[in-house]
Amino acid sequence: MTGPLLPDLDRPKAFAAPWEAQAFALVVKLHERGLFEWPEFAARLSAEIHAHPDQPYYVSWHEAAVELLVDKGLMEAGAFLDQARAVVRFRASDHHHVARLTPIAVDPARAG
Amino acid sequence: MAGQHDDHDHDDHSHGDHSHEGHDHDHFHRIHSEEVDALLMSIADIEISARVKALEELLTQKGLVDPSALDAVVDLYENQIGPKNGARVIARAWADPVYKAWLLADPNAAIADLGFAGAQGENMVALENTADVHNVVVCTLCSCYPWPVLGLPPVWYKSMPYRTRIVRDPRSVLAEFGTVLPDSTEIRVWDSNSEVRYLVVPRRPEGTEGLDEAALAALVSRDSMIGVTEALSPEPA
Repeated sequence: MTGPLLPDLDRPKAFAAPWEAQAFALVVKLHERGLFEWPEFAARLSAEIHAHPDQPYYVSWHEAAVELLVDKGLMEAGAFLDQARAVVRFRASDHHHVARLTPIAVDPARAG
Repeated sequence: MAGQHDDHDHDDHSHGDHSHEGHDHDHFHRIHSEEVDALLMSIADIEISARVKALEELLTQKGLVDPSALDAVVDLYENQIGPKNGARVIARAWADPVYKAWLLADPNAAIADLGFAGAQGENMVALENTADVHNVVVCTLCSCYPWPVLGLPPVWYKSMPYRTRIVRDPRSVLAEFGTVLPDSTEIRVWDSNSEVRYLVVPRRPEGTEGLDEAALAALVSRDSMIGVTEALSPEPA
């Protein structure tokens, strides 16, 4: 892994929500693929944090990643907005997983 | 509207699979696509969990990331991800019968009392394991999981084999986790969803009478609160 080069500017010790872990993992994997050097990302993250000191850490992390990917021509900002809208639409049109307050399966005790 | 809804806990990776996303977004319910686009004029209007999801999907489409590799990274960091607040809840319940009764009767309040907030709009239900009844939790449709108390779901919890087999043949699946229950124990399988999140209260292990809550909490594994294992046994002195 990338341990010593992780930009640890007040990095929280634990992830507060699943999306934080996903944002973290994305950047780690993109770096491992050789798409950018850690110092490049670290510089972006540092700049983002200093520009928005009240912003949650992993929001800054995500923003830094998006900026870096767009600047490197790996992603277009318009395509990203379209994809994000698609996610919102998908969630809005979602199925409904019906709440069940009883077990969905029971394996009874066996005589013996 | 945007930015307030960070409780989306569906750690899914099946693009195009309708079985996964978004129970927690009722504020967009029944709004047409064009209206969504009109409302969400810029990326900043979109809540962060959807932005992160979109980034993952876009990069996956481009072949720049492999969703299963992301899972592996998350797994690797699970120890720091999962604060396992739930272990403290269970240890308190073992140590204090009054708290335990409260946890079983009103889990949201009892869990909040220890300072752990649940995500919005979901109700916790605590299921007590006994010698006669063993409870185990699944989300058959996706990966609903009480992450404020249990951290992130393990990869196997999200896997199709677990989601189907634990319903069809729970006794065998539990045995594969090393949990061989006597035939006299009934097994109940519960389906977590966006409105109801189940938390298993495992049985307190033998030989723990003298332990304080911190020592007890160390015995409460994540898996035991899902119900696929029992709590750990204390090291022999």
